[in-house]
Amino acid sequence: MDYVTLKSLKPSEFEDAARGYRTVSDMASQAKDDLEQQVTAGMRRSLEGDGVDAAVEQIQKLATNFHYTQVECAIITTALNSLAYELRLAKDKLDAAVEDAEAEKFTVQSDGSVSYPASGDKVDGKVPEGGTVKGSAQGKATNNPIDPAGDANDTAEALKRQASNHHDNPKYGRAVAIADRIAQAVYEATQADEKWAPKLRRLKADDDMVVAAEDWADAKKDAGGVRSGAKEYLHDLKAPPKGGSPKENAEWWKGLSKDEQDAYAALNPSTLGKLDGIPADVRDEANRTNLAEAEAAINLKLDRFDKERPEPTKYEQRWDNIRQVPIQGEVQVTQAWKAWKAERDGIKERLKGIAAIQIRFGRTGERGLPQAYLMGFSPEGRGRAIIANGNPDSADHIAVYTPGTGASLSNSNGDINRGVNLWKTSQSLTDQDVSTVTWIGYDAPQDIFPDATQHGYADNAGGAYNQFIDGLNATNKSGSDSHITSVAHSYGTTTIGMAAKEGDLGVDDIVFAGSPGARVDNAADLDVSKGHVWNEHARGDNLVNGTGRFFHGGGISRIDPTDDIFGANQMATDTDGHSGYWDYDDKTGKPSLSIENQGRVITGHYDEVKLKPRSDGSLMPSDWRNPINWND
Amino acid sequence: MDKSGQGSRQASGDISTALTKLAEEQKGLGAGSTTGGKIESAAAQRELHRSWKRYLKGVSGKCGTFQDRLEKAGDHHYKNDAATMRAFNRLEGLYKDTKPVGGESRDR
Repeated sequence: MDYVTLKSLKPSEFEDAARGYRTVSDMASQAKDDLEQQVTAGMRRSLEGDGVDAAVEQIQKLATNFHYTQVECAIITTALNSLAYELRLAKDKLDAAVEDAEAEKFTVQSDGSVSYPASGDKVDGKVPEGGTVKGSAQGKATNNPIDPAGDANDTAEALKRQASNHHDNPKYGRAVAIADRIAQAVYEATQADEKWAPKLRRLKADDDMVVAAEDWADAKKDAGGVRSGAKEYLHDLKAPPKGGSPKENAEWWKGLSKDEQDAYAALNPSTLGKLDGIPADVRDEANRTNLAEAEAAINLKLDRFDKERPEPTKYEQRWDNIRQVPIQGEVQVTQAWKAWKAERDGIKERLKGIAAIQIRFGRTGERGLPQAYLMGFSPEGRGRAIIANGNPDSADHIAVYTPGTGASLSNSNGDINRGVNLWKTSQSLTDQDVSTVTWIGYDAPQDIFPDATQHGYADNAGGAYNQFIDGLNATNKSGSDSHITSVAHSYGTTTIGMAAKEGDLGVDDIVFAGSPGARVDNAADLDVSKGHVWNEHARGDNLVNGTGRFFHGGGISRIDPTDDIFGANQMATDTDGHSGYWDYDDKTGKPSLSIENQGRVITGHYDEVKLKPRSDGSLMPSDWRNPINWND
Repeated sequence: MDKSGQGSRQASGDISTALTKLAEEQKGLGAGSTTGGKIESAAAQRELHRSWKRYLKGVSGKCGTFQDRLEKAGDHHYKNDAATMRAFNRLEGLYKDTKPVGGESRDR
């Protein structure tokens, strides 16, 4: 990098290159989606048995090649745009200085030095001579020991100033100033060039066709490296409003240009993935990257563990603790092995939930099952997974299913499947677009006792749930006119109750199944219109109407949603126990009555919901909406 | 089967298009260009481009092989389910991870 190079440099050429990588990234994203949606679906129709599984596995690997390409090329795009931005700043400085030189009729030499003509009042009968000066950049240590006590630069500056004050040629001072500006511009361009060259080299493609855990770890590091290098470029790219509402987040996102959105998504997928108010497809892409990187990190952790902690001896002779003698002929598992297994399983545990999500990705196309949108993912703590079937932003009807006790990322398979069943059931009841979301967005209590008797879990979740719903309202095509139904199970119903108590729950219908108590004593407190709270209590569900109400029931008398006085519509069920509410026969494609009633609420077919007779034997007419206690 | 074969054929085609576009957009930064000449980042970018060109060609090849197996499976070329399974599993062997150690030590 020197004067001549900077003078002829076109920053736009780096931007052109950036655009090329953007094209590649978008292509890769599309290919990844196509493989997941069309190819896998097509294969399931034509291949059978083990052949399908082997083919699906290879497709997923191929899709990973595209995903890796998508992520890395998006980072490259941002890196090149950032370099271009910085080079342009330097070049603009240079061009301005050169322009000023020309105005003064100075000549800029090919090494950046500036020549000025003879000028000024005669001294000793002669006009002061012209000359050539070379500038120096600030901030650049010269390492020349002119003055051991200070940087040579400072001394040079001082000398120059002194000289220009006393110089007989008035043009000297101005030439020096311009030469300095030229040197500064070249220096800044050199800095940018030297900073970005190694970063660009690190973004080179993997040298084999297998996307290993290390490759994802590298991709994550690459994003970090570019993020720190791109501070100037991104400076104007305002971060999302701190503690902003979903509506504010939505406004922020819409206010960014496409390039800015792409840059933010490339460098901050973990922030973007959990921001309520961001479009579902954007969150999905961000979280798929987060998922891949998290899975890779866990696998690397497991590799390291296996290297450092080889499996200890599993068995030893059995020991009689009372008589303190060994028992001949019997063995027991060693403490060391138990500890090793527990620790190793702890690491592997987190992979279960990730696998469950990937299984869902692979099911797209099965009987018309639409694309999955991963709207939330975190492996921290008990883990979070928010996964939608079909795009909630373009849907007419949305259902958000909140599971209860035991919900976690690791256990998400069953809950993800319930979301799928709700989709299959609901979509078959309408021509409009349905999206169902499984929301494992809070730390659910893992055991019924004592965890589920505590309030703390629901308290924290209520706020998160409200935010999520507000986000849906902010991004849906119909805004807050979209039809949203909360569907909750067991302790999940308590969370909904807390959400309604704490804030303004922005849904239109609420469905409870197996609720032990919802913290409110009447349906009217749940923020929905009269008649829009629906409850299911299946035969044999002993968790309901039991002790739960004493911990979670509403009001002084501990009312729960199954009580007539609560004011919910009691829907009929044909399933048994606490966990059958989402039963759906995959073979015949037939929903249970329990889930079908939920589907009718979700699609707004209220008149078709089958209701239970009340405790006094009378059958509630389907349009009956006024419970005794409804506060008007 | 047509649909799935189409999918991977489409992916190959799309890669070609993207590669062409990528190459076009690189023209200004070639070794002989005014911008390309003495700029370290431009040299780095050329290496970067070469690596991604190679990678995408590799992915395209992988698509082709996969597509080939899919089509054969669709035409009932493989005698039975187990044979189909083996055909796809063999793709595993074709594309092995060459790294003996982690990414850090990779020659970048």
